[in-house]
Amino acid sequence: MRRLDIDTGLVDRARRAASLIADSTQPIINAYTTTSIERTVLRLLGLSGVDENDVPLPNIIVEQAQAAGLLGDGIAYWIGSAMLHEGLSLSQVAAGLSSGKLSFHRIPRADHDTVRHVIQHEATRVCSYIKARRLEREGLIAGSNSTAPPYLYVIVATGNIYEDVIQATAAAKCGADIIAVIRSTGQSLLDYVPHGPTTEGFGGTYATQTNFRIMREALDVASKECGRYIRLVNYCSGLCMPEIAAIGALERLDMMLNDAMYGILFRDINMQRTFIDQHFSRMINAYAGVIINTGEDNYLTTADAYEEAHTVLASQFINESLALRSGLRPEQIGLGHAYEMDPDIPDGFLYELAQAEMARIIFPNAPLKYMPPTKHMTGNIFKGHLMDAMFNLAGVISGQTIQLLGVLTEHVHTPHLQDRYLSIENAKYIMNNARHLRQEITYKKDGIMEKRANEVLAKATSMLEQVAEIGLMSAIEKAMFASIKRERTGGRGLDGVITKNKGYYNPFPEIFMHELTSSDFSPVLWANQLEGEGRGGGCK
Amino acid sequence: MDIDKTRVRPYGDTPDDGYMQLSFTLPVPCSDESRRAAEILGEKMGLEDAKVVYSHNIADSFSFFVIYGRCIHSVDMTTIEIPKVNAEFMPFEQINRFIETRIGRKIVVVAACTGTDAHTVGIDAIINMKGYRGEYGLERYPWFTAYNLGSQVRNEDLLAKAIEVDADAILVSQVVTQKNVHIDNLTHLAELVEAEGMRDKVLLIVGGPRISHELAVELGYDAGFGPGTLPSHVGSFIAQALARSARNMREPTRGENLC
Amino acid sequence: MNPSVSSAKTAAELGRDDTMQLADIVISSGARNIAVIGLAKNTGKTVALNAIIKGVQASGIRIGVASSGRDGERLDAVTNLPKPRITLQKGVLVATTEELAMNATASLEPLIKTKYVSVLGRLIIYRVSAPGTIEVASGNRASVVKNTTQIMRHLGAELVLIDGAAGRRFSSAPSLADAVILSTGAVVAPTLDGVVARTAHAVEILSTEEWSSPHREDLNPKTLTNQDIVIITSDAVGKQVQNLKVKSVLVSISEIVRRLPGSGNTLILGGVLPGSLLRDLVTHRKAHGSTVVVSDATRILATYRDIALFKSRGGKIAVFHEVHLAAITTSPISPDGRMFKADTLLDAVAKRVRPIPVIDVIAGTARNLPGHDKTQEDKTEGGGVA
Repeated sequence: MRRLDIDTGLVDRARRAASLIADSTQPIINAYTTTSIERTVLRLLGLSGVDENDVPLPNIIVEQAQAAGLLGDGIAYWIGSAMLHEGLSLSQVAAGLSSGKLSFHRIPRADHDTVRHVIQHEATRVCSYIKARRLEREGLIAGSNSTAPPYLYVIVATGNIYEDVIQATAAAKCGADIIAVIRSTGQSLLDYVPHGPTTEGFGGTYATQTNFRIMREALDVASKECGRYIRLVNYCSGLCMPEIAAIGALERLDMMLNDAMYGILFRDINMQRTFIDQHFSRMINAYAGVIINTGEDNYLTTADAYEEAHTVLASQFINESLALRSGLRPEQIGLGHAYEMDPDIPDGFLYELAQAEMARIIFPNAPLKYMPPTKHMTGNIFKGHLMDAMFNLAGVISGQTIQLLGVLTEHVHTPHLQDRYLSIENAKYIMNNARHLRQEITYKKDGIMEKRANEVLAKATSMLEQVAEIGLMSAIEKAMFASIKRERTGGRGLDGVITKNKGYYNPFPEIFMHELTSSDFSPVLWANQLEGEGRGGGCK
Repeated sequence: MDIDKTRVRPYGDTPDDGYMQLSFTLPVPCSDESRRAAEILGEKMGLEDAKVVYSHNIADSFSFFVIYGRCIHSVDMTTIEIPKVNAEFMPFEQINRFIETRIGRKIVVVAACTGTDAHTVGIDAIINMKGYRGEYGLERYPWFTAYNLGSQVRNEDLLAKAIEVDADAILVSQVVTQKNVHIDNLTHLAELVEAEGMRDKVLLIVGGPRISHELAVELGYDAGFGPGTLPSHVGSFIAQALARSARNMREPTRGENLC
Repeated sequence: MNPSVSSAKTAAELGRDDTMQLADIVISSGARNIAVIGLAKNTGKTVALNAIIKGVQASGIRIGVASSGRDGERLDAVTNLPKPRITLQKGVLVATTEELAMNATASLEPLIKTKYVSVLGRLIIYRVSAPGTIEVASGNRASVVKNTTQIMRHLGAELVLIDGAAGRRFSSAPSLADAVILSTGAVVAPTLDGVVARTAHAVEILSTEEWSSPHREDLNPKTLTNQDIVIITSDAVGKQVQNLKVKSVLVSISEIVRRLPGSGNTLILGGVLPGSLLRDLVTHRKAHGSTVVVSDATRILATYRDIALFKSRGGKIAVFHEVHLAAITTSPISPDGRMFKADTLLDAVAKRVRPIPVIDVIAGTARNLPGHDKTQEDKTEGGGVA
């Protein structure tokens, strides 16, 4: 069926530019590792736990190696050397290092090939575990009822994981398909992952491996009761991007918020650190069959949604390009966009719908994540509920995959139980009532919507081409994204960027990429694979 | 319509009928008993003829209610006093002229949403060029230099920026809060400013839908701005407060003796 | 601290209400400026203040009352719940604003009109000429509080009480108060353990000890501002004192940490001690054996977690001027209706903060009273029967 007529020539140009932009980050990704990547290696090798001061063991060991100036060889190399020299197991080495019985200064360099042999064995074991968890998810999806997209995504944020479980279970029973546990504020700036179950957070709940497990188990119970597979989301962003990806992979999280530039722009995290971290974290997500969600909605929280719509599209192209380089399948790249225009704009709904359709057409296989009005919600809950309804209508007409439900009390408080119930009811009503409207609609040739979509595309293309010319990092230095200026050597976390030595060793990228680039890697993500729509356009 | 300001009651469709609606959730399954419980709760809240007009199960173990009832209470509005920000509100041009003549240099303002809050809408409306309801934000004022640090800014970073740029005023926005964390967060900022010895060198201003001027002053701020605040309100206050403190510098410390 | 044992005993025998002990503690401390601070809003500060006012007035001492927040207001600014009023007797000095004075039932004679104007009007020092209730708000910053108390002392107040604002602690600075009463209660945390832990953490920070070092003579703390960051290193070569002169510690944390030659040194901060500095010292392995010195405990604005981490790595925090924590009060009730068993909270807090006296201002019971060691021990073990 004919939808909007989008200039495919421009789409190709934009993709080419985005590809060049992604290439411009590659030299850094190749040349450096980070403290968070090395901690991730330890976590994947099975190390968790904290010392008596709640400092995670991976932090203690990586800090020691960094202080000894050995991190450039890769923590895996030195752990392997220690295992060989002391004749100890991995966990014994870890215990020795964290208690001070062992010291990196006293570990002699072991033969590289022997180290690889020892570590490879451990790494392969954990990778098969992660793969088994992916297959477990696929089994659960296959055994559950299929519902049609848009999938309803809601948020819980009590700060207490046990309270979150109650709210999440209630939301699932009301009809939510996807539950995101909002993180405690400021966690993105912590250079460690907190440990254990947590019951006190600010504006959200700490992302910890135990909290992931508690929520996953609760949602597995709820999935069984509801007959649908309920997906769990957390945040793979900030200074611990790859570590969160690792614990999410181990605990079978289904989606991760994982944007390539969000931390740089909105959290002032160093750009080199972020580009290096996002690459490895996305590789883990890809291997675990996780769907990533990108954070383009953030561009509109400060800027005007009508004027700056092209920055969303430009960022989607860049996120896509970078994600593909980490081995993610297009079906795993949940590009974000948002319904944030000022409700007073005449024909605002047409512009929103035009942009939503445009995203659907340009990224046909992406499980697009559509985010609700927040900026213009006022506390008038009645009008807010209506705005959310219009947003839901735009979502179902334009065939979005993941619909983050708006809540009528946005701008008032973090959602109460009944707020979530009302927003799910709103979405279910509209999406059921207008279920096949999408198939009945064609848009007017050269109409308001078609013009709007092409105008946004043209602006995004020209922006991408400008960025491609000077490289992504220079563009950020020139405040070309969200009007926020960040320096290459500024921001948090640069002290955790380490030059790789010639013999640098990390066993995981090779194992991951081997699987990700094989032709039979095709994770099952939704129950309705055959229906097509929502896994991507398919109906152009 | 003649309204007795000493006995104000809700208006449904006739004066003083007291009609109100409310919605809430009880942590019990929906049943005849829980519906009655909801009505009794309404009555205890002072609603006569509380009637459940809608009830629904949420997830087997909760029930949602919409209730109408007639409020038996009334309010004496003549006794209400709300402390208001101490400023005469001026329009854009006048504020700029005021600063030019009374202060003679640009006023520097640093603003942020601090702590858990990711909602920059309030601070953006006050600071950003574009402004709010047709009024320009402080960025647009020739006699203001404004820095908007965005959301989820740590108090330490906000104060650091203020010191770095020699700010005259710090503006904090708290829109969405949970379990009153905004109180702790605002307290922490005020303590930080005081401990750093900066309290007499900078105006501390907070804004947000649940912020009253009264609360702000109690927590150690110079002003608190509630919903509906426009950039010119904040601009007027800052300009006048700075002019006042400049004048105060010249007054004797002990004040005026009335004995 | 040299508590007058006999007076404490007398008060306990006369009335069953141990809250009167508070006044005795205050009087016997010999302090002239007393700050009452709370861990949060609604921890019972005003109740404690009233108990002190009552006891001290009865003893004939001339008092002055000031508030760094707002006290004796009818309704709480957050919860809208009724609050305890403040009643003052004839002769008491009080610093409050013109507008609040107009609503007082006490008769007030204005003495000094200060230069301070807040939202609630101009700040004036009054003398109570006929008893009644009054709302007190005397300025929400240290400089104003300091000036106000000085004026009241000048006008003849022998003992000035400074009530705190919400959860703010700045008024406990030794430059403002020479003794401090800390109020805690059920509102502070959802669980008993949480309340006790938070109270103990606050007490630990407030009780930070004085810096006793031969280097102290090299520095006059009064001349330090927030732009002074002094590093003292002493090694085999000798002692070295270096002032970095920055805009603020907050702006220069990484520079400070970098310029600190290693662990085992002393770092003196003229302004605030932020949590990020402690974390960075730990990360860069410069905590061990190092001492961070600030003017007083109100300058320590790191979270307890950051402080504990720093200390566990061998770091030390010290002050030029110690806070004298004279007593702690507990309130087992939270405005949202949560309630602990009064004695359970009292005993749990008392056990953690020994030997600081702890008084439940709602139930009127006390622990750790000076000179009562034996009985109180028995009480605690007997389940705290009042």
